[in-house]
Amino acid sequence: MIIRRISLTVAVSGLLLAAIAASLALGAVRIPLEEVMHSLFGGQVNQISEEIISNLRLPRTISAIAVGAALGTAGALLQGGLGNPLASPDIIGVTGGASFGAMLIILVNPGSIALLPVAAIVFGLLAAALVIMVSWTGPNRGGVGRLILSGIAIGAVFMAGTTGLMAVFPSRVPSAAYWLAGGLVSEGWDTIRAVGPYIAVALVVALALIRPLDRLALGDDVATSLGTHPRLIRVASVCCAAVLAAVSAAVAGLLGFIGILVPHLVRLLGGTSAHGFVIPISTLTGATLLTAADTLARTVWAPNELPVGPFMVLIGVPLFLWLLRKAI
Amino acid sequence: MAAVATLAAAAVLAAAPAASAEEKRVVSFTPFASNVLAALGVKPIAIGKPPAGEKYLSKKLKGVPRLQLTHPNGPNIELLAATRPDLVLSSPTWRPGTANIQGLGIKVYDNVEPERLATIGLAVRNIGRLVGKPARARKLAVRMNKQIRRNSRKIRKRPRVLVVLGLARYTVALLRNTWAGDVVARAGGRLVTSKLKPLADIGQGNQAANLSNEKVVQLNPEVIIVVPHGRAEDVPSIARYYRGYKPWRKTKASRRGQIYVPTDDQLLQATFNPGRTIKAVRRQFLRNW
Repeated sequence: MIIRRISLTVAVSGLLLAAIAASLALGAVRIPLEEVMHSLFGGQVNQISEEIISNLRLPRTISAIAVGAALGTAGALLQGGLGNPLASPDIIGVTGGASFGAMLIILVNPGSIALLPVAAIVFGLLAAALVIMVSWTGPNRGGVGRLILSGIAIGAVFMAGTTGLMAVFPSRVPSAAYWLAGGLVSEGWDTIRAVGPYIAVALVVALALIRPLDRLALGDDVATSLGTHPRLIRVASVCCAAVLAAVSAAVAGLLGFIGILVPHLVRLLGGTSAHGFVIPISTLTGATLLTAADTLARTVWAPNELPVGPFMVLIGVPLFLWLLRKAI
Repeated sequence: MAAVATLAAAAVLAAAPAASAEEKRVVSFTPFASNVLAALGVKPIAIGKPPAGEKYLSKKLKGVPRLQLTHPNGPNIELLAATRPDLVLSSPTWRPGTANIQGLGIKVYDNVEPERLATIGLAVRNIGRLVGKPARARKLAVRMNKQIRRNSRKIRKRPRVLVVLGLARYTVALLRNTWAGDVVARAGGRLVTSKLKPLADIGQGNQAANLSNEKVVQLNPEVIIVVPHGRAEDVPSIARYYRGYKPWRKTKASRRGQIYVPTDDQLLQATFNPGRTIKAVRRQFLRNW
């Protein structure tokens, strides 16, 4: 079993490195590998290549790694914290809230488009806060069922708001379609520089939650007897996942697929549900999947760019279905 | 593709019987068709409300009821039916609603909107034929084509231009076959996207490509024109956003301060005065007038 886990860790790490290399080497403009290396390591290259590698391709690659890692981790945290295999950022209302925030900018106030990431984060976190507040009050507060149901309800409210805005401003819906389809944009360092620290802190918190989540997996009573507070751990997991998912939505729009699928993929391949394995490997796998899919999305029809969602499905789903068939 | 569609439309319209003016209760959806009707002396019973404002609507259309148009069908079918039209001049944008209107027994023509400068004259003549004013339409078409030719002369400077649709955060290039691409090319702009193929037709047979910013840096346009897709009051802030858009900062257009955002919708859809639009593009954006 340990060999299987080590092999998987090595394989995913290798694939991530390969995806990063491909992401930096390939793009709409063909730049010789040598020039890419020179640009990355401070050598002399022409101005156009330098601009493309350093200020467009590199930040986009880092964004893909960060967003993929964040979503993979968010899914693992939620599935572990809620003890529900169908848990994902959608289920705690973050996706609905982030969509609403983004639509407020794109449809109602397109002149403030620079504020799109901020709006997505604020409303994503607001939705998660409402879910926690609702599920944390009244009888049976903090229960998993209550959390999931309030997440679905709050998410539905924000999604209704989103569709309402689309109905009120129909002529601007084409602008929204790209964001809703999900995908990264080559727009420099600003966005990833702004949200990077939040992702980094949330990933550290996720690592700190590994042990409590393992205890929680034994059942609330056992976890309590081991000195863990199940409700507190659940709320911490949900908060951490909410930050990761909201920040991801701010950078790359709606990419719900990674959060639900990657942790399952890791559990099936690794043959274990131990969070010490599932959370870090989900982080790596999410990063690998999104980096590879994004490279495909911007190269298969270059110089046109396609939404990244279909490519993630193309890469991840066949493998997942094959594993699922074997497991069941 | 657009040219084939226009020719097909011409064939269909040629087969349609010429109408007499007095029996028509006409509703037009687009500013182009509404202005052509006004110029032909036909007062429509209702017109579509232009999203970007009424600056370029004929004064003769003052007092004509406006219909709010929403994607994808156009006006509310009950409000349209209440005007009791005999003839509706629609466009490919609102084509999904054509069958519903036809279901009310109303004649609808959704292919009279020109998508290129070359089909302006044909579109005007088609509208004239449908409303029983063929002779006036012929004269109007000749006048408009003359204006286009006059304002396309003596081009000394041909800058390299990228035309994009102002969709948030994405560089959606409007290619040669779009209205904007056609007008800019006629005004003397060399489109840097001339060799690009579109992913798919959008809306009115327009062609667009979600272009990589890497390619924009490599193509290095001297002028970038961002066609806004929003309300007129949003244009100043949209312009600020694009003028400071970091991925384009190394292009000649950005370094020379030649990223422009028009304040109206004259590059978004066909205009009644294309000659004036060409002149404005040359004066304000290409600086070759």
